Amino acid sequence: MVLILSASNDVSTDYVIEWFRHYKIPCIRLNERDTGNILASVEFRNGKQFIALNIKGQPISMDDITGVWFRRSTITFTSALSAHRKKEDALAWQIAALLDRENRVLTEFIATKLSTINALNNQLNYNTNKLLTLMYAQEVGLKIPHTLIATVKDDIRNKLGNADSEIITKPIQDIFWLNYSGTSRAQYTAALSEYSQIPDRFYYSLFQERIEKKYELRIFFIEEKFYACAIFSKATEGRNVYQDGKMVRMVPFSISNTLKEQLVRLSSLCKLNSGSVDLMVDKQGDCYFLEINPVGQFGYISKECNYHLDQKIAKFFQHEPVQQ
Amino acid sequence: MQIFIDFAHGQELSKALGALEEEDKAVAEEYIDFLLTNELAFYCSSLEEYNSFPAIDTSWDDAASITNAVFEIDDPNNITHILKSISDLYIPCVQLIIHFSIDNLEVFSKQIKMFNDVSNKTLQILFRNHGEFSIGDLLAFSAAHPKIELMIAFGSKENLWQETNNTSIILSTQNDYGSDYCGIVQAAYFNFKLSHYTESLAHNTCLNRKISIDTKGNIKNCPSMKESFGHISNTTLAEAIEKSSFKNYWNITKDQVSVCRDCEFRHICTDCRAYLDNPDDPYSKPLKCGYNPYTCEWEEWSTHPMKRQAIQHYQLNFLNA
Repeated sequence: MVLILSASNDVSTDYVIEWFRHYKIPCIRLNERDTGNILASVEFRNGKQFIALNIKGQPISMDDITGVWFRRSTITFTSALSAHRKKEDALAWQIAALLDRENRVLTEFIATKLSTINALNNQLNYNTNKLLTLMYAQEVGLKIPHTLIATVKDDIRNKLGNADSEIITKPIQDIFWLNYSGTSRAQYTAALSEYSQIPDRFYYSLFQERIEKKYELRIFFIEEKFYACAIFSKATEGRNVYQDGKMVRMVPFSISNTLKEQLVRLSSLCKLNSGSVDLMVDKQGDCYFLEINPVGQFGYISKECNYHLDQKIAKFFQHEPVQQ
Repeated sequence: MQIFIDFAHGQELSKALGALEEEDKAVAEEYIDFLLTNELAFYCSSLEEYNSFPAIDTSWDDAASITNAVFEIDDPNNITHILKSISDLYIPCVQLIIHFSIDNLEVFSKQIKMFNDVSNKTLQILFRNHGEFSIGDLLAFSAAHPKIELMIAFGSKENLWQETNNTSIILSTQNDYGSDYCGIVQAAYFNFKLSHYTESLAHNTCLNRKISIDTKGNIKNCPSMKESFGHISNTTLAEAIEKSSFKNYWNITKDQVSVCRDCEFRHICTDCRAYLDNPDDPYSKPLKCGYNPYTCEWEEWSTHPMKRQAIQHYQLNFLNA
């Protein structure tokens, strides 16, 4: 049985499950509400571990799990006592903190155990560190945009150059959704505007030279197979599927062997066996690495480029080689 | 244009143009201009960049062994059987052609709610507007049943059409509907989706992976087709599909159909194998298509002298009544 850790609103999971059904691969889907405290017991005996799980009320032995797809949600452990943390009781607070640590050990153990069973990704690597990723990209020889983290205004001008329009800023970590007055807004990449109004000193912020892009590449990968899509959009970073009411043009792209080798090394440094990589090609044809995401959307790449990725993900769990 | 693109493939553009006669060159330059202004093409800076844009894979497949079904129903008690068929085969797209009378939307709502518990993702409902429901009534009805993507109310007092994000509601004054009225080919039915195009390259765009049950309980490729593969009282849909000739029409592509094979619209078009120009030839052009690809003109098919015999053969004489 394949265990799928997903989210209730993830349509891509629905499509993959249809292929599971097609190939007659038994699976069980857990959404965010089903992933808490799934462990019934662990027994270390006779040189082995016997792990009993309780999944959606169903007793399942870890030995019966033949594959795990870490798609969205995470295995979690929570104690009823955690609720006490908000109270002004110093002892309850400390006990809740202790339980948090206990839970972290349980989570890490179960997630690590699951990730060794023919797993696509691993929840322990969901949160890629953007700065480490940039460093890994440099190590494997990928070009990255000139990047600066600074706290002083003069550094921007001195280190990155003059023209305000050629500098962008974005969060150091991933996109962050701000919820206020009933709406959600994401922090996307923005061009640095009105240099003169920036205070002389500020908290750590990330700045990057702006690449004059010709098109972007979004590359989905499963192990060492890469499915690349060139995206023609005018947006700073092509996250919008629609633009001026038109579909943004997305076409299949085939990456060079050099780039492929670099990406294989990068994904291994990031400990990801599946995910998607964002790159940008500038007007001169030079390719810049932007980021790598373990659980990105692949549905539209698959649809626009006819890559049949839903089917290929299902095949991964069929223990058949994935066809490019 | 295709000929020029094939000719210039992999060559430097100036060289490709240089190899052409002056007159052809002017036409080619017009093509290039068209492609660039409409953002259908762009300049590559090297042959290496050019070669990193491969042709798209045109293979088609679907996880569902039956992707769509048409059920004609003249008795609401048959819905239970239909629900079982949908569940057994995991059919994603379902069309109901309803012949029983729908006078009360609350009663009908209870019948349609039963589809929430089976695996189909979409539901199309064709019915007679006995209750004189307004477009507002039907919009509210479809909003309460999220699987509904299309409702057509025949015998309505007026022709009206409204579309929301997920649903199209159509009131039609056309009185009769059902199998005799199906199979019309027209530009409004063209489908530009990549999946339709790729399916069309290898399969029939109407009958591929389709199943249906007609009012009499016969299991067929579609309600308009003659051949029955068993009756629901003694045959399961899964058994019918396994019968030797059930899939005969699935792979008849437009490239094999006479006239259609020369049509520029063939792979974005629908098809019909139930009503043909030549009823004896399964590769004949759909009877209910009035397009002539050799003159690029649409003509009225129902009054066309060349089609009179076939119309009589299928007893579609009501068309000229």
